[in-house]
Amino acid sequence: MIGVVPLGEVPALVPNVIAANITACYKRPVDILPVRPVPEDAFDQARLSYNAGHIINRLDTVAFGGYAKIVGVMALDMFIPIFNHVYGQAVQGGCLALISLFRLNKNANGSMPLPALFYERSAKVALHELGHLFNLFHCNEKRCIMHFSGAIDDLDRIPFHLCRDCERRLGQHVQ
Amino acid sequence: MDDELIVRESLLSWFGKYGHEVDTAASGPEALEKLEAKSFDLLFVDIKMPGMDGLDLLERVKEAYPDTLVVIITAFGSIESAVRAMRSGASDYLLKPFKPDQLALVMERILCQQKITSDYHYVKGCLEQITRFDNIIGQSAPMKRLYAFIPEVAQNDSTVLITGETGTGKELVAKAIHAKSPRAQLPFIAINCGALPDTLMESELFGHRKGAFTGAGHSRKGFLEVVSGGTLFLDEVGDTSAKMQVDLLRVLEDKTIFSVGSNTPVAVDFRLISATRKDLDACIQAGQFREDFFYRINVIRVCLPPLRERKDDIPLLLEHFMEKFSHETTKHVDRVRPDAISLLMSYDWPGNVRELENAVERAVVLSKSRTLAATDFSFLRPTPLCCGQTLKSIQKAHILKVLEEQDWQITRSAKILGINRATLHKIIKRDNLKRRT
Repeated sequence: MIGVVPLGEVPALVPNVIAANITACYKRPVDILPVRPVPEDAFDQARLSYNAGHIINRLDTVAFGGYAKIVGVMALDMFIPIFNHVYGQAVQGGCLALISLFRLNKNANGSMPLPALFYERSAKVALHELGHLFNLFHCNEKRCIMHFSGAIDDLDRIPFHLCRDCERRLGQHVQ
Repeated sequence: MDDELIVRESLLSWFGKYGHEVDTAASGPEALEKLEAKSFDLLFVDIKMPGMDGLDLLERVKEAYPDTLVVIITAFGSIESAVRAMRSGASDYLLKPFKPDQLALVMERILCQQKITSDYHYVKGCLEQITRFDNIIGQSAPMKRLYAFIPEVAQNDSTVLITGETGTGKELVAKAIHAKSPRAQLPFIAINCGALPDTLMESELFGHRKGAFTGAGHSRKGFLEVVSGGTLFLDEVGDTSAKMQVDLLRVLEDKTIFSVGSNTPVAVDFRLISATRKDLDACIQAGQFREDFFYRINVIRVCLPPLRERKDDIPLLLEHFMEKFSHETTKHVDRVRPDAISLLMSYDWPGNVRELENAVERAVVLSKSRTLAATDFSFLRPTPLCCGQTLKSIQKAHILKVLEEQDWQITRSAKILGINRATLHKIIKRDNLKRRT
């Protein structure tokens, strides 16, 4: 069972879109869990952003009984020490992933995307990070959800599904 | 390499998501220690580190491990440090924290650069194999004599006859002679005489004029004309017909040819290297090969030893073929168990090096691990003793084998054979035993 946890205020439809796409891609049941607060001590005053690793560590202390994988969703910007921002972060082969919607609502040229595109991007980041929880690595195949997207245009180019190799690896991991 | 634990952990986690094998070091000396222990394709080095500056580390790395790529990372970028880094051989210079797409681009560029370098080395290796004779593998006494003999033979223009069992590498030796000869920059054309019917061979060698025979829709130059200044290699020359032997004899004597259907002589210039697996002396006795043609093509004789007479070379050959097929099949097979070596050394290799090459290819393709074991060569069957051989022929072959293995040292060979030196001398003279070239 997979749980989607909104952290702080997030657009109401986003957790539903993410849950539906997880079920479609990974063929697993998903629950949307109650909203939890964003841990404010994860805010970095110097970088004016939230430390993704810190939030994941905080989520690790919460008991999500019965959920093997948890995907946290927040609207605020986040970073990891080597990157100035990340769309998502996950523990490779672990239980916790986190995605940020902050930069998904802006196109490369600074314009706003249509709502449908914003939801698509949210779902893609969640599917990608969940792949890491299933111990899938970044994939060289550009037509795979596990292909690394460093920029928003890259994210728009990747599909909603795994390539055949990643599908096979997922099968092996589950076995 | 970064003195901040959080940065090391962060990079470790990010590269881990690509499935790369990653290691970290908190200082320059620790990094150098790890580099001493194992090789790394790519290093990310922070400039400000205690003990040793990242740029100093870069210089040390580039000096000792030039193939290792280094990306300099720093939170305090300056033009001076960027210039020094790039001049010292850094592949890139990044400011911390990076944008995610920036690091992805750097990785993509570096992997692309690595592939180009790897392809370059492979192509360069292939080219060297074509133009040199390093691809003839072996360090046994007969092979060492061959290596010394090839440059000598190559320098003059006499015809060469290479004899040896099938799969001993006759064509490789012919190519090596050509590559070392003054004709090296000119064509090397190989024709298998056993594979072509007489009429086709005539047309291939001498060419034909338009309308010379049914189907000759246009004029075509023959190999003897096309080879123009290069080397013509006639493989399996023992299989040429009597008529073709006469035609070739005339060409060798006159250095002119007539195309099929033409009366105009064309001057040709080539060096002839022939090869055969047959015993041409016996063929002459049996009236199957012309004696005059034989003397023409046999000015210099090169006899290639069968693999069973140079088994010391098997491990070297095995290593060479494993590397070749590991590269071709992209399977990482680079080790051999002792039981496999013993099996290969005890086998008689009737198909010689070609058989060994095919056996290693099959073993590499089917191997499920990086180590080849005797079971991977279970398809090899020990050669049964041939009941048709006379005792005398077995004795002669054995004495010759011992002599070759001992580099024709009579005292040592006699001791191994359990006879005295005088007896061995007598047998050598009686059986007309000769050192292979």
